[in-house]
Parts: sequence; structure tokens; C-alpha cells
Amino acid sequence: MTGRRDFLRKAAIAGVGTAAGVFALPSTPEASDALMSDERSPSANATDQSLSVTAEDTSPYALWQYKKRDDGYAPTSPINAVFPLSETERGLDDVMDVLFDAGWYSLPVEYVRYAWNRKRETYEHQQATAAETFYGTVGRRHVRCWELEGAVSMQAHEDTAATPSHGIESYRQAQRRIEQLFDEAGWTVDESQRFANEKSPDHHGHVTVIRP
Amino acid sequence: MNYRRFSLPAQPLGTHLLGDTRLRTLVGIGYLVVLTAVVVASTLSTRTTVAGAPIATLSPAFDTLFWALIILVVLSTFVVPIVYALFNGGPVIAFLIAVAPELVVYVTTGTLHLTPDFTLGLVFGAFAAVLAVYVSAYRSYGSLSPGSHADLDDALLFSTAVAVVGTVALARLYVEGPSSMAARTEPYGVVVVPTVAMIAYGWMMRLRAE
Repeated sequence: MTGRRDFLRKAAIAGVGTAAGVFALPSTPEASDALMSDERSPSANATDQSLSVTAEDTSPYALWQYKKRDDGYAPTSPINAVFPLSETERGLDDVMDVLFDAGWYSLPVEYVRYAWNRKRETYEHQQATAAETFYGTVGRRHVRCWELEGAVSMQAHEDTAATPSHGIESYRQAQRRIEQLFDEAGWTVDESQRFANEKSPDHHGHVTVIRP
Repeated sequence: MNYRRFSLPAQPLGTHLLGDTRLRTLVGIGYLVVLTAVVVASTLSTRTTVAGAPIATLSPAFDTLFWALIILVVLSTFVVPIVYALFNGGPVIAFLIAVAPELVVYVTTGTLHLTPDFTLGLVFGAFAAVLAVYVSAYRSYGSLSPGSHADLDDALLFSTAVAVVGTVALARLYVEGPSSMAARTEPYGVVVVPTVAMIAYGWMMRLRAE
């Protein structure tokens, strides 16, 4: 009888523990992860634009993000969203807050990348980053941002699963997600510019311009 | 099959919760400690600056470190808990290895969402925990019926608890979470099927042993 009573006591503890565990589960980060539709996406409706940013020094916007190597810096991924904020009250923190409010993680596990700062004539370390998940074991959307001369340049991409290292699944999907997120947050997302930064698998140089 | 439940020998409480043998349990605890330390160090390294510059900018070697960290986390989520369970039983340690990386994120950043990373940690941790109970039954009694041995009650109850939590987490990700996250999780999430099956069989035999 003692054994049975002992077992029931343990089962009760396990039941309480289970209920506590279920209760303690956090919520999912976003209820939806809709992408901007083809009809409304400025980057999808920009086929005949002429090039506006052709080199790093021609605009306050960055053109590429770079990887530091022993022999210098090599471009890896294209900037695909920009925020002209120099004449507004807003800055990089306001841009990042939109992502954090959607449940993205700040400073996830990621590689170190740089962008060219033409004023300081130096490659500048990523200033703010965010991703849907911290490690991205089975893939995630991920952005790196720089605020240069009052304009924020963002590199957005979708990572493949880490098997074993992350690759680029898509630039466009992440760019469309960023368009949608800022649109939902009340920013103006109706313009794109053409940058000379086409990159496989799916970035055609159409960079989304997002304004407060 | 008719398994007879042993009410003796009474082992010290919790013996099978951590592992079947002392030395192997220490190996598991050691792995857990090293994993936690590495993840904490990496998380802090991206948040630490030296003279205004993040320390990760000091050397391209940091990219190699972060690459290794991601591999360590992937292995600790999907592989190491199962290897530990096969090696030494021990549902608590097997489960903790799978969820430790995400718990460290919570402690160091204060942020915890039900992401694919965390959900798969819970689900694979639960699978490894249930597997561990069967391994203990086999190693201790040559039986594949953990429910037939009273000294495995603690381990069976623990693995049942984490299996329920993991299954609920996966269901919530599907029901409440964004569809792209559910789609990424799906191919791995099927591991709840054998998990629930093993739990159900364990309890069927446990009730029969009453």
C-alpha cells in the first residue's frame, strides 16, 4: 500500500509539474508572418527603374555588406531596404523596435559583417541586428543594419537551416516580410530604388525605401 | 507478453533520472556544463565592447567561433540528447541538453519566444528523455517495458511530463505561430509521434503491473 501511495504522490507532483511547464511556455513570436503582396510590394513593381546607387560612395546608403578577410573586405549580401531618416525624428532604434515588437531577437548568433562608411572612409561593424530565432537551427529571417549619415541601410535575408552552416535561402522573401512589417507598423512603404547590387538567388537590385 | 512488476529492489530515489552509471552521468553533466558555458560566453561576446569596438571585430576567427557554436547547438538539440540517452539513460540530463541553449538565451537576454529553435529543443529533449527510460529498463532488467519496474517510475513520470510539455509546445507553434515557422519545424516535429507512442506503451504496462 505504501508503494501505491508513494506512486500516487509522485504522480501528483509530476502532474503539477506538467501543468506548470505548459503554463510557463512562452508565446509564439508573431501571430502572422505574411509577406507584402505582389500587388503592393514596391520592390516587385519596379521593373523599369534606372540605377540610382551604383557605387558605395555615391549615396549615404550602403550598397553591400562585407565580410572581413585576411586580405581585405569582400562583399557578401546586398542591402535591400533603406530608410531615409535624416530629416525625421526617427533613427536606427525606431527601425529596430518594429522588429523587436514583432518578436525578433536582438543580436542573435550570427557572423560579423561590415558596411562602407564613406564619411569615415572605413568599413563599419554591423550596428544593430535582429532575427526571428536566436540560433536559426532550421532557418530564420535575419537583418543587419547600419545608420550612416542619418539613413538606415538594412540587409535582410532568409537563412537556410544550419546543416551545418547557414546559407542564403532567399533575399526577396525577407525583404517582402520587412515591407509587410513596416507597413503594418504604420510606416510608408510605397517606393523602391534600383541599386547596382544584384545577387543570386533572387535579389534583382530593387531596394525598398521605407519612410516614417 | 506479461511482465511482472518488481517492487524490489528499492533503489535510491532518482537513480535513473540522471543516468544509469555514475561515471557516465558525470560525463553527461560535464557536457551540459561545457555547453552552457560556451553558449553563455558566445552570447556575451556579441554584447561586449573593448574601447568602443565589439570584441567580435577583433579577429575574423570570431566567425569560425560562431559557426562552431551553431553546429554545437544543432548537435545539442538533435543528436547529443539521443546519444546520451542511449549511452546512459538519464531523462533529466538528456532533456536539459536539448533545451539548455535556449534557456541560456532567456537568462542572458531576457527574451524567450516559442520559436522553432526552442520548440524543437523541447520536442527532441522529450524524445531523448523517453528513450532514456527504455534504455534504463533494458540495461537494468533486459526488458523493454519500463512501466513494469517500480524503480523507473520517477523517470517515466519525468519523461511523461516533458513529453506533454513538448507536444503542447509543438501544437501551439502550429496553431498560434506563423506558418513559415510551422513549415520549418514540421519535418523534425514528427518525432513527437514515437515519443507519444513510447509514453503510451510505458503507461499501459505500468497500469497492467498494478
